[in-house]
Amino acid sequence: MLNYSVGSDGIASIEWDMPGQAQNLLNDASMTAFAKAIRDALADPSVKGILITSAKNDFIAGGDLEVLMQGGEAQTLFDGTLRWHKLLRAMETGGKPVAAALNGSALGGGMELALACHYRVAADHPQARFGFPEVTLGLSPGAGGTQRVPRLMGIQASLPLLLAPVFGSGVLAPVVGSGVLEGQRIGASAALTVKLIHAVVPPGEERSAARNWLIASIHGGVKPQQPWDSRGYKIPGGGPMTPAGIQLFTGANAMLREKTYGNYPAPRHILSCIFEGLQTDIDTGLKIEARYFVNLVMSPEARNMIRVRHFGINEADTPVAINDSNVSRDVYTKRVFGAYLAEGMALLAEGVAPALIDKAGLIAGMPAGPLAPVVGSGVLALTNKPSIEPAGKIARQAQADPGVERIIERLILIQSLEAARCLAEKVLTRPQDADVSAILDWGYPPFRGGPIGWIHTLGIGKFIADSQRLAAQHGPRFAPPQFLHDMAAKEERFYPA
Amino acid sequence: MAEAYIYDAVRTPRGKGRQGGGLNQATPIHLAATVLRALRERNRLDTSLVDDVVLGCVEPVAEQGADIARVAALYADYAVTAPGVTVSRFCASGLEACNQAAAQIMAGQAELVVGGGVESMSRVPMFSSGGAWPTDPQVAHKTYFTPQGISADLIATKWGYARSDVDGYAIESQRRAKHAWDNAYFRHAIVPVLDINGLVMLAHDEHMRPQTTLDDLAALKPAFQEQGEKYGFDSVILQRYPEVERIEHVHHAGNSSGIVDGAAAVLFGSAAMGKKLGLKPRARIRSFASIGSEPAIMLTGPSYAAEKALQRAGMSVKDIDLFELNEAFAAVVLRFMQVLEISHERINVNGGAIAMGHPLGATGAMILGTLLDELERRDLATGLVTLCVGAGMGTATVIERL
Ligand SMILES: CC(C)(COP(=O)(O)OP(=O)(O)OC[C@H]1O[C@@H](n2cnc3c(N)ncnc32)[C@H](O)[C@@H]1OP(=O)(O)O)[C@@H](O)C(=O)NCCC(=O)NCCS
Repeated sequence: MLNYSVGSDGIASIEWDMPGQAQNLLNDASMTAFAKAIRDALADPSVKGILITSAKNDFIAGGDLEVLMQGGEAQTLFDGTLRWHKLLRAMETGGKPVAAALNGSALGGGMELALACHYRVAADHPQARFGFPEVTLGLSPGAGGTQRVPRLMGIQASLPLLLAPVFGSGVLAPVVGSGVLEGQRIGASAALTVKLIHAVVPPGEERSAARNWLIASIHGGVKPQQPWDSRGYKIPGGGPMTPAGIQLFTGANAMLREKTYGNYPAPRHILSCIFEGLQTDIDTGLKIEARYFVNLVMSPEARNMIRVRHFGINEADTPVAINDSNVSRDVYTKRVFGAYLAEGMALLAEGVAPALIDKAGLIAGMPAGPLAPVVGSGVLALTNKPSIEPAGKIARQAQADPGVERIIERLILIQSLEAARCLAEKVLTRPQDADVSAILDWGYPPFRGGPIGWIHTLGIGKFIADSQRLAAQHGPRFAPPQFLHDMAAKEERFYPA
Repeated sequence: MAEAYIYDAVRTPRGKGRQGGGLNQATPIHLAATVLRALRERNRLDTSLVDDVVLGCVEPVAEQGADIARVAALYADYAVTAPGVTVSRFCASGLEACNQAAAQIMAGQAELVVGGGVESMSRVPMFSSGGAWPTDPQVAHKTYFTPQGISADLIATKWGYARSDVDGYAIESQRRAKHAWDNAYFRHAIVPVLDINGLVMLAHDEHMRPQTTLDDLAALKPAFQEQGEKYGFDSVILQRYPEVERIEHVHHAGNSSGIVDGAAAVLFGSAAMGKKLGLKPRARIRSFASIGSEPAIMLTGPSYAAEKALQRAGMSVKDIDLFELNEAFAAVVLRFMQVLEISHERINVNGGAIAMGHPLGATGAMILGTLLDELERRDLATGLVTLCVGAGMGTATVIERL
């Protein structure tokens, strides 16, 4: 798991090397081993400094999705999170210099571990990436990232790094200014520019660079200290309640809702961790972070997004796991996405304002309203699009308005029903293929976990009841297929969690 | 229940709320003390009889912080026994302060109370006190926080007030304010702000632009479009109001309330206290009310507040001779007139904040005084004053001359 050795120079080396895996990941076993190594090194009087390295191509790739999918009780998750915080705090306040040699990528929990070191030096690999992809899984950084990053570089600079993954690049530019950060994970030189790391060296020299820093630090005789633990520490650029901070959060909150329609709690909670946490000391801030982290781990949004990711949407957003042929995927898309479009037409026929219908689609999390022209390719371009006259000042006319929540319910449930029928008719064979295809092929909102994932999220029983209510009002297209009744009767589920 | 009477009402002129404005030289304490002193001197008050000084202030920080009402009373040489309390109901703070002053008397727990308000927007700018509403991510999310200018634009869009409608209203506000000044309708209320030597700093409302034409206004750029489009606030409020297709940004510097400095004070007392002091009551408080309304559209509260206050008084809209509704934004007044079917002849007859400015914490008390002066000038009996309020509220007060 970890290779631990103490050299004659008094430097304890902790080398991450998880057996049987290409990547180092944070899970119970590796975290327990690391905690023991750190405690040993801090307690051993012959150890003067600590070097953290990796035997893999990358440093640490982040948390183990299997673990995160297990969820758990809030108290247990909270206690566990605080234990890790305590360890990292012991490491950074233990009086011995700690350096991380980042031989490759350090992401998520791996980057957070490095941030609790006094010195971070990275190898200049073009493929190495640094950053916080947690938000793409519906999570927040849970090991201090929301507290240490803004304390290191200032709140403004930290936002794109912690939030950009959910928006793509450049989205927060009006608030934070366009900077070096392009996209979710940054390379070594950008990481250096934003002060996420201290130095970049040619590949292969990172260990010796870290070692040299440790030796200098040991001989300098100054107690190593994180900026936020030093006397008179001030947040670069000021805290949340300065005029600049007030403006920043006011704008970021609005932009977040503009981009996410309020559907994604993770970026909101990340903002809250910064907003609330940076008005306190680091230890209190870490507790605040842990509370939001636990809330997200237990959220249906995170569970759905992690599940879908687990099924094989990889980082490049290309499907790797769909079994069925492209033909059946096309048929599936036409039917389910077509049902969404048709429901938009049905609402229009009922006299609901087109603007409201399209807005409801967007608020539901869809990439476009059901009446909006689809700029798509392949399957989507084949779909018959109704042509709609510009709506004009529709708000002034008396129109049917069932309420946006009801419209959203119809637009979402109709997709789940059609997806379920496709499974029943074996258009696609596995629920996960139905969910992954929906997200990749027509931009179905990941927080719902796909059309089948959404049935799972609601619970099959509630889904049947809701569908039957809609069927009574709007006709048999909302009647749930028999196999759902059967599954409900047998208390079966589509997914374990 | 005891009756609360208004014995006097004074205000400072309103100075441009920016550097170089006529009252930018005056501290907020100085503004508040100016009106408190005026009340004392005009009424030869024994201030040891004052049970409380209630002042509205929307940004109670920095120079305006730490209970400016108490400190202003001390600075104005009120008896040390006269306490002070600062209240905020955002833009209705000045009226809220008056209602709370009256309420103490109506409840039989006080005999003589000053209500009023102060705001130096040039020295303590809007939003200085921060607050969780726009900034706390959870709060902003839950309430669809949107800045008030965009809420006003939503009102115009939702109920179809075109740019020409709101601009037309603004021109009339300017015309009426000029007419009122030219004919000295405000002379009874205005207390010039003097410096330490007794020299005049400001004696008239300096925000007014009576020469403004519709063409002038048509040339002005919408003030809240950039905020709405660039920072995402249009999207936020449209998510709350999905039936509206897009926001028409019709408000600008010429049809929104001006940013100004000023203070106002109103003397409330019981009947017995009036007799004891030899003062003649000018009006009594018939009723007052505050309401909460949907916070994102924010500024639709006045009609609900007016209806509630009228109901408490056992009155209806047609029983009211004159209305004052703070001209926060032109669309707010147009909406109020539309909902309650009030003709422009009966409301804001001497102009309002579009012409003269809206010194946030003071305005409610100012327009209460303006209403009473005008009822007297026209020899009418009943008036209703109301303001729209941040975070979706409204406050209203019904008065009746004796
Ligand atoms: C609308 C608002 C943003 C405008 O602020 P501002 O830009 O500082 O206003 P200014 O006084 O500088 O006026 C802007 C321009 O309009 C012009 N202008 C304003 N009123 C005008 C009029 N009646 N006729 C012609 N021009 C006018 C000014 O000359 C100025 O032009 P310039 O830029 O060429 O000098 C501001 O007044 C506001 O926010 N008002 C609402 C206050 C508020 O929210 N109160 C509390 C809530 S109700």
